[in-house]
Amino acid sequence: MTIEDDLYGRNEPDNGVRLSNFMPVYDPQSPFFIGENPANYDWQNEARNQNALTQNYSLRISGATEKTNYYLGTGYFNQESVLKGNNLERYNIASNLNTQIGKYIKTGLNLKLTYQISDNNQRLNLTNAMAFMPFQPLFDANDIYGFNRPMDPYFEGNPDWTNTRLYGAGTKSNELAGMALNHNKFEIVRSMGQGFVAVEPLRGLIFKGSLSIDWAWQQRRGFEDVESNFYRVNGQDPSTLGSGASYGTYGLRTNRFINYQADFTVSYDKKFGEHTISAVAGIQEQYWKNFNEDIGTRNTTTKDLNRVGVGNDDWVEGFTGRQQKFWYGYVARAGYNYASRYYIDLSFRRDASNGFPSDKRWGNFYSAAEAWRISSESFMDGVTFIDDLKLRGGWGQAGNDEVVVGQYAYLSNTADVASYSFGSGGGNVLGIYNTGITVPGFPNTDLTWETVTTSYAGFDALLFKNHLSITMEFYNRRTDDILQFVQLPPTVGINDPAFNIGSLQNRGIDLDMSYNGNIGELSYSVGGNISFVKNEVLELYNSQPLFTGYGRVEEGRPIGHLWGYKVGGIYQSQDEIDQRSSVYTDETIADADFVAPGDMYFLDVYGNPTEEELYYSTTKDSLINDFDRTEIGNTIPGYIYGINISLNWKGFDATINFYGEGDVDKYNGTRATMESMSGYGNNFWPTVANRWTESNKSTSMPRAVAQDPARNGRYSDRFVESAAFFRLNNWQVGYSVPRTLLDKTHVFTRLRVYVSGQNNLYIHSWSGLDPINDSYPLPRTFSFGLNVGF
Amino acid sequence: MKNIKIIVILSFVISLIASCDIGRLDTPPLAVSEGDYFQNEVEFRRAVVSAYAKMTDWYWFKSADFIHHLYYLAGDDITTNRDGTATYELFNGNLNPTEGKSSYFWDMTYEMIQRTNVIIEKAETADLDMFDSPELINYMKGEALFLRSLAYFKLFNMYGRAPLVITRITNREDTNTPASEGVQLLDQVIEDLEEAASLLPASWPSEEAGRAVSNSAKGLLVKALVYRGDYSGSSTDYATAANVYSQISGANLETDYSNNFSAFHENNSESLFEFQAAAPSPEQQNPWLSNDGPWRGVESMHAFWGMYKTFGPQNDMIGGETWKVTRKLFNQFGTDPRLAFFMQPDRSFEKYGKDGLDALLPTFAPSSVNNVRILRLADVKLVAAEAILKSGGNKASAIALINEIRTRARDWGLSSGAGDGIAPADHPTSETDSGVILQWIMDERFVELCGEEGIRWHDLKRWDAHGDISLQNWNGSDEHFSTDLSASFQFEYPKTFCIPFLR
Repeated sequence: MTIEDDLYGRNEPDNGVRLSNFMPVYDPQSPFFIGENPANYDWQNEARNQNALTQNYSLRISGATEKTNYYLGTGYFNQESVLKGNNLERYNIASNLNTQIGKYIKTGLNLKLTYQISDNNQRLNLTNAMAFMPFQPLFDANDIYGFNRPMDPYFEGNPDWTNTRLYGAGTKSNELAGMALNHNKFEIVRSMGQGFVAVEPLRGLIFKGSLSIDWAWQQRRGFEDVESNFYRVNGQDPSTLGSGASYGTYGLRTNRFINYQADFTVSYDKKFGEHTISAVAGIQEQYWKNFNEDIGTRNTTTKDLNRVGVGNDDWVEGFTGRQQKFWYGYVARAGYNYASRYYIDLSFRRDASNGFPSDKRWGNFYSAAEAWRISSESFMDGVTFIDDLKLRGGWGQAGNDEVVVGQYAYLSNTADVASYSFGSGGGNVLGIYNTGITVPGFPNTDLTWETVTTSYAGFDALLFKNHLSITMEFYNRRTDDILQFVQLPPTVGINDPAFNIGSLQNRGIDLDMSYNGNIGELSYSVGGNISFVKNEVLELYNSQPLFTGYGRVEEGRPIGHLWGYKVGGIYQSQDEIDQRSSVYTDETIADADFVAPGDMYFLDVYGNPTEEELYYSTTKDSLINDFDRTEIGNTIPGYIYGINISLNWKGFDATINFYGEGDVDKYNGTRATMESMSGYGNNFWPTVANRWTESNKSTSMPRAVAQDPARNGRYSDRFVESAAFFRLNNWQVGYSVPRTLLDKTHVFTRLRVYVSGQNNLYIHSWSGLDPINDSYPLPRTFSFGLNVGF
Repeated sequence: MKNIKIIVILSFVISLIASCDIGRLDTPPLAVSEGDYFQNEVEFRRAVVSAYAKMTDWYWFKSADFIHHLYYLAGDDITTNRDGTATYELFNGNLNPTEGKSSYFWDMTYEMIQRTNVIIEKAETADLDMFDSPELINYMKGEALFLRSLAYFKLFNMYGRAPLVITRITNREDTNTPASEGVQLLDQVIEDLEEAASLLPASWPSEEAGRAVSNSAKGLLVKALVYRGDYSGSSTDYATAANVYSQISGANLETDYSNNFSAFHENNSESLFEFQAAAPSPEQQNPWLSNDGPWRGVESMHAFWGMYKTFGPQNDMIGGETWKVTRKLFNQFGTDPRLAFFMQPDRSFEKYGKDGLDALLPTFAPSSVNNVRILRLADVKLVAAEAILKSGGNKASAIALINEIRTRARDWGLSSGAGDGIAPADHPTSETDSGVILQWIMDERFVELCGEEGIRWHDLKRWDAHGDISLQNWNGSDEHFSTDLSASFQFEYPKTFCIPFLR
């Protein structure tokens, strides 16, 4: 069998199978050949909603009397999505009321209500849209819905529904039809309320109780039209859905979240002479609950999403779920300062979380901070360029339970996740249905708080008549007893348990500087900030490298590093192949006979694990396999930085913010797909024109070959790129009508017009659209706004 | 006035403190936890169901990434010419510790072992006086022991030194179990099956058909003993095996050989253990889901037989990959009814997938509910014949066992039209040359059990270990593995899967 036969399916006698499993569309000898100059449709363009409009209106009223202040606001926000199918509308109402009752009591109430509805109907993003073969048509004027069908279920008179792809194995579902025929909505109602009562029986002594409740209701509704099956490559026969006469499937999922937090504190503040003291003690309780219900049907009688419902018939399915998290804590803090010159602050927290077993549930966390305003000392009087200089330092701990709270990972829960049948035989093929339960957990009764310990030292300075401000801080943040769900050796045969796995360290410097001044009527401020960070995993359980929620972790390496093969180069000749394969065996290659000039070879970095080196051996073994993967990139930016400029001149104002990240890598998965040149049925980037060929040997891209026998496309540094960038984050230029003019209107107190933009300048060397997200690149926006005050 | 204020303030303070409830921290979990479970027979039964259910992972469609290649392709009975199958047919270099199908089988099999370990632990620690029917708990312990033995028997044959885990691991210091030594896995299998054979009932009511019975444990025990004899050279195992075989009662060869592969004759009198391929209801089966409970009522309980088909949607789904009888087997025994009945002129083999035998579900075409025959009496009879022969027993009775298999094949050949009623003829019981008789057994297994799970490759390996044959320097040629693959790989002796590592 030749590669051509395999690609084109020339030996496949059945046309339907041939079209569905091979690419006869590329075979000039085939009746399905697309021709030398095939059509070229722009799928990406169809995914986009160019010049998407965003509208934002708000109205705020506020006021105050001697004992009471209030605020009322309403807002409306409407955003057309940049990619089709994700439009969003939001309404807000907010109010705030604070009042003093009598001499000793203060009370306040803050309420917010939001309603949001969005189309949850997006099926194409820029990455998956570019993967369409350009000759697969989008539209068909003769189709009842106007869309091209990618699949013929009754191909060549096939009597039974069979998914035969019309454009070869790479045919993709027509998502435009999917977006047009199917409907999804996502609605959220959220209300947040917070009330407090504070009593001050003695001056400085305050008893305060507050209660906050955040309640959210979410619902997703989705309708999938039976007709959409004709536009999907794996569409199902509509006559098998529901009653056989169903209009489609419909499902809805409702989620309710409740977050309850009650706080009670006693605080005391007192100043006598140059001494200021403050102290707080309190109790905090918080819990969070989630309830969800999911119900769906395969039998519907209308296609209107607003009218469709779930009937009471055989085709209904559903399930419910709940989650709960509980916390409880005590807090105490005491502060003292002398003459705003010497500061000391001590605090203590004792927290409990239901993420831990009862004997490991409580954690004690302490912290201390000191500061010295050295500029207030008499010996600094002569240093005139310093207006204010404060040295500060501190040490503190905090607990983290985020990974495990509410998970009950210290208990062993049963799970309802199996089914099996008994009793078949004698012509009964199905038998009797039984459900099973498992005990899949690894109850870890040692689970306890993850602790973050931070030490820092720095200074804040105001110099040159307050024109220059500098803040600098060095920090060392160490996380111990990191909580993670870890993979155990598969022989344990259970779900991944939660462990306190080890320690990691982040060390860095933050520097922030700004200068402000005036030139004539122009006032300006220019600022910059930069943060450097170095991350290292210090210790792991059994020194065992793990794949976690943060990515891969291994002792001595930064968290979330990229792990893959290293490209050695491209074979230029058969001689080179023979030479190298006399020394090295690439065990990942199925058949070395198919490796040819133009293919890549990969480096022998490590050896197979040994009794001493359990995860990989640092001794090379001339075998290329999974144990030659190594660190090929760092996903945590080595530094992030920003520049902020603001200008004011007469009624005009301008602000400009730049933001950048540096020393960071990312695996370009989009490029790995779009330059794979191996499979069929994917579109490729035009960059593949620079691939290795006999006449183009000095290139870094390997040859194009079906099925990629040398595995050039494996996860390797071939696709790792710098994800560093620098962008104009946002800018705004405004003009305020002078007060003198407004006063004449007797209506307005403020009138300002502005134009602004986001991301209009974006500098990076990434070979995709956006180093942050290729599928949903940051939109470049322009805004126009009007602020009016009455 | 002042007092009233103090009362107001104090009552306010008290009510605020009261609104915090530290007791909420002790709210029990929403799911049932282990401590509350295993209280009655029904709860035990559901745990046992989950252990059986794990077998689904061995046989399901798995989005066309089915792992049957691991059990059927390594021997010299079945071949394909598909790229990528060389990994499983000839064990080329691609079969590394992270190879997908092998790793998946490994992971799923140890998950099954974990499920059985829980049941065994709970049955052993249960206070049987608390149960209405304590004998049911013992039956279920026997089922768990049988399933665990089946899992380790497979692991031994496929990987050799797979780690032996026979208790629940709940301590993180114990999570790295070292590789087993020698025939340690078979030792455990034999010990467990002996216990299971004594615990398990002789039969279940018909609505429970498919659960392991005493004969299941005995049948597998016969094989495990002979395998251990071959690998360790311990000759007493053969005599024990022959003795265990004689205790099997109530099972018979089916008159119709094809019943062994027919969805319409599941759990028949020849069957000792099967995977019960099924569906919650015909419409609710989805072969793209693994067996992890229903999702919107849809779930996966099926088997896949698309590679034993030459056409139709089941076969289309896997790009027309069809498995064939090797030229070696075809040239030697191609006219035997047991091959001819299932074979196309191009040697394509349709054992379980053949029209009239297979039962497909109406939706999601690749789902079959045709049970996988994991252990059947004909297999055990031939192993027993070998046990008698190798233990120095009565050769005539060994030959008689082979002839039982041949007689059934001959008679069925005539009635089904696949044979002439003459071949395969009986072997003369007067033969005394052990080498000749052993060759008869080998040939009979080659034909009778062609294309059945794990048979041929495991046989070849143990015969090699015992010195009955030599696999040294075997390659893909027709006198050896006889492959249709164009590539000329040299398989890695002794041809076992790499033990998967933590990925």
